[in-house]
Amino acid sequence: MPDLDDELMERCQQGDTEAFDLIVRRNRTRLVNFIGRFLGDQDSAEDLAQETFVRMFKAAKRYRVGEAKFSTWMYHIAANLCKNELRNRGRRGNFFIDNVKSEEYFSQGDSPGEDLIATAPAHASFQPENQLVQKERQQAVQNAISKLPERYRLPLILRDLQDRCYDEISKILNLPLGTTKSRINRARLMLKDKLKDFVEEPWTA
Amino acid sequence: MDCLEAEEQFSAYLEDELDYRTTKVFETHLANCGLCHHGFTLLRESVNLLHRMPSIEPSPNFDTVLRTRLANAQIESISWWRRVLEAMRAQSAWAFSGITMGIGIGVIAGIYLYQNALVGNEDISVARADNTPSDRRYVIPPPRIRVDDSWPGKQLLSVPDLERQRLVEFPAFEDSVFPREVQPRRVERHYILQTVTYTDASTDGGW
Repeated sequence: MPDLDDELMERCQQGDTEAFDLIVRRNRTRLVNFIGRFLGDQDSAEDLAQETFVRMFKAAKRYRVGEAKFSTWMYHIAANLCKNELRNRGRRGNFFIDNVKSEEYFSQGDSPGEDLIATAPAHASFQPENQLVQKERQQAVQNAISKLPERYRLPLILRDLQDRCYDEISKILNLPLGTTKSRINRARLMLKDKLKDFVEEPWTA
Repeated sequence: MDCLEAEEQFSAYLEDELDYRTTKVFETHLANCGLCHHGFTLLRESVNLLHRMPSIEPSPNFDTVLRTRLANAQIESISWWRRVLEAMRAQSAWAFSGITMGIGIGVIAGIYLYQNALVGNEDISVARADNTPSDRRYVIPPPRIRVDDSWPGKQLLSVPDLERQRLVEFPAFEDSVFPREVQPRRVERHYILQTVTYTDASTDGGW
């Protein structure tokens, strides 16, 4: 039985633009999250997510319902765009600038937590220190993800942040199932080493 | 199971993908190896951190920008001739004037080219050839007969290579052996080959 996205794609193939609008509304957040976590940069994430939708729209007539899952197709396009973007950044040499940008985005200010405190709601359960620690930890996780090599970063994000199954990840990345599993395990091991300081604290305390 | 093998099974154990026997072996190793136990705990906590990462929300103008880009993509996907037809339909008076002007210019240019013999009438160009440098290459040079008397008592006739002369700068008509009015359009080479027989090297030779 085809899922809703497949049905919407069929309607889109018949020229129904509202169906494509619905596809965008259903998938934009997870696509922006996927690309955003991969690049660590909100602006580029939105730009590439939009480019993914444009490519999907252009290729809608070639999409064959039932041949592959809609999400596999969508992530496949997005993953290719991400790889190209990373390659272009390598050529332009502004990868580190974008990393700094991502830190600014995730900390929402010059010093972490500054804006957070300024805009804090006056609520009894609100604890600025805890929020600050949480924010720092999230930033550390994002930095750790950004430092992973591309071949490990993509499968890790798809598995642990996008909650895709191994089979689908292997199809998205055109990798054998065994390679996909070993890459995800390897990525987690690398991440564990990078997050040692942030992980040890809570459970040893 | 050694530490390296155990490390390879971290994710599979975390996601409950190991069979019963491997699970038992893995758990035994973790119970006996503090390093692996610590490593596995770190990995599990790291994955939990990943799962707790907040969602990135698209900015409010995401849809607006996307709609513009989709509209542009739609325009790009229409073939160029269809776009021209659409434009012509919208501005039919201008389109009609443009087409009429185009046809008119084409007809005039065609007549001009035909009269100037640039299109398929080489005879006219040969007949009109004069001394101006631009027309010289259309003229077929006349043969020039040279008397070669390098050998005393012998006269050899040689005809210059016409094909080669056509490639090099051809002398003005004033130098030509033919009067200007009778410039040939085409010169056919007729060479008479004569055999020279020498009976004695000491003689003067002869025909």
